[in-house]
Amino acid sequence: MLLEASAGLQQPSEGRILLGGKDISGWGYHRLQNAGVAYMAAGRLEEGLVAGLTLTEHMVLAQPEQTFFVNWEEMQLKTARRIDHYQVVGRPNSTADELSGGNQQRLLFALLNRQLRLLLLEHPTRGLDIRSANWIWEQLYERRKEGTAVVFISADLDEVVERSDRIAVFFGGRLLQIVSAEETTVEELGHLIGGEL
Amino acid sequence: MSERRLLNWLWPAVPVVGALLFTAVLLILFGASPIVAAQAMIQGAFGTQSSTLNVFAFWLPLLLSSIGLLLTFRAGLWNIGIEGQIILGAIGASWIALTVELPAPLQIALQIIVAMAAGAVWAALSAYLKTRGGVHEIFSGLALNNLAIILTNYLISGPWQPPEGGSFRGTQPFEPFALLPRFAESRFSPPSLLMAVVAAALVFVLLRGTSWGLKLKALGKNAYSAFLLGVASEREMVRAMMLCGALAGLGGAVRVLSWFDSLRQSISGGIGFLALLVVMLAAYRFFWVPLIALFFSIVLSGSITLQLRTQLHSSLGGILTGVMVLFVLLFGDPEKLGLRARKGRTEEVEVEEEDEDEYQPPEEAATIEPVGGNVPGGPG
Repeated sequence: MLLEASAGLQQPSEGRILLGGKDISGWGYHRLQNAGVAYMAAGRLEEGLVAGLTLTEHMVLAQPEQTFFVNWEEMQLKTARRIDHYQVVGRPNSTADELSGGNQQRLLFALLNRQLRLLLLEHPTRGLDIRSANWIWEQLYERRKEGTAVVFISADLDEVVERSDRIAVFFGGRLLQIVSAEETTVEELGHLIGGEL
Repeated sequence: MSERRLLNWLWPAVPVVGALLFTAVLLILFGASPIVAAQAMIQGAFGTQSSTLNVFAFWLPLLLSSIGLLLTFRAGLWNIGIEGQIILGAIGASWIALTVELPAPLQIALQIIVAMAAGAVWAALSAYLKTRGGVHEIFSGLALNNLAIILTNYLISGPWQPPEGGSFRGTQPFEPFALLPRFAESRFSPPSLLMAVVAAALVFVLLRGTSWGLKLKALGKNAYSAFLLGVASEREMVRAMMLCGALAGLGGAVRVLSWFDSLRQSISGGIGFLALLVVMLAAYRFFWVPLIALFFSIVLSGSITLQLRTQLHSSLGGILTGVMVLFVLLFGDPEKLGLRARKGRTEEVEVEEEDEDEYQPPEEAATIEPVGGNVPGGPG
């Protein structure tokens, strides 16, 4: 909910959303997308990729600026380079549903444009093996270095403590507390999630 | 691989042949000869020059509507309202024909532009009801179809009734300069053929080569993912509907300006519904659409002679096309029948087909054996 509201997919009933000090409440998803906000949902094939479309077709759709006629050859090459860089096991002509879960997640990263201001992720490593998960975190650290704020939700408390700087704990639909990852433990987080301060 | 592609490509022929066989058996059961019936049908369609030309004259508006539907089907929209869009096109063209007098080429151009605009507006109503009002396009389409029929009846019995009095049959015939030039005393007009070819080429290029065509494809396969990837889904849906409506409207104009010479009560004659069947029978494949539309035109034109020759009711043509569509829905997807070999384990991970094989959360580990699912006799 918090992520969807931040991405402009849901409108909050009250309160304001600020991005870099600017009020973005009420902005739609595509407007925020253009402003450098990216949202990666948990369901890779349901909310992110289109089953039946090839990787090249995804790449065309994800371009911030599209030409009327698609230069398929150029996009094919661009896709090949991009999937090579992001280590996606697949060909530009593979369809998204032919990829394994880890490769679908890599493809989603490959589709992200550079210079994001805010990257919102829902369960970024769910269902992935350790190698893929580590790779995802490398990508996210790299993004952070570039100045992108990364906000993620995870059910894996170890991951939350290990990978975050600050952790926001919600209970009963309210923000309970924001704790520093360095000063908390998985046990303490467990209690907080249960509503025990 | 190439064998499978060939099978894929030829697959639409399977239900067609199946339906022909089924109808033949039906005829034999009723003691009629399928061969005589087929001969009568072909004779009816191609017996004389004018009957042959009439087959093509019937084909053109059907083709235009079917081509338009390729766009909306591609975007995952069920444009049932196409019938109304054809009618509105016919009304638009008639309005100009009855009220404006210009030199012939300008007159016809204006009629066609207004017809396309009217069809597009009618389609836009459906589209906005969907995107803004949350009304499914099937329901709004049905309602708008009926409204279009009511509007026609009102016009021909009211404001546009012939001077000799309203007859509920139609308006008075348009002036010759308002009609599309016809070929050799038939209802076939060569300019309509040209327009249909241009429209088909346009749709082909749009679907194949443009980012807009790709957006429609993405919308049709997974509208939410397409939206998240950056497709302005509502805008593109409205555009797809409007372009389809414009082509249907053009079909309606062809109906009033060359098939008939005036606005009639059943101006479309169900061409919109027929076009839906054509596109479904073609399994949404571009190159099959003109062929199947032509086949439908032959069968329906031939059925009338069939009745005269063989005492078989002319509804046989309708039965044949109906059975055909039924067969498409039953056997149209070779994958569902398990006839197509699987590409590999990954094909099991397909969200669209959630029916039997449960959606497997895609795992990195590649060791899971594919579940047999809907492949009869597959490894279990």
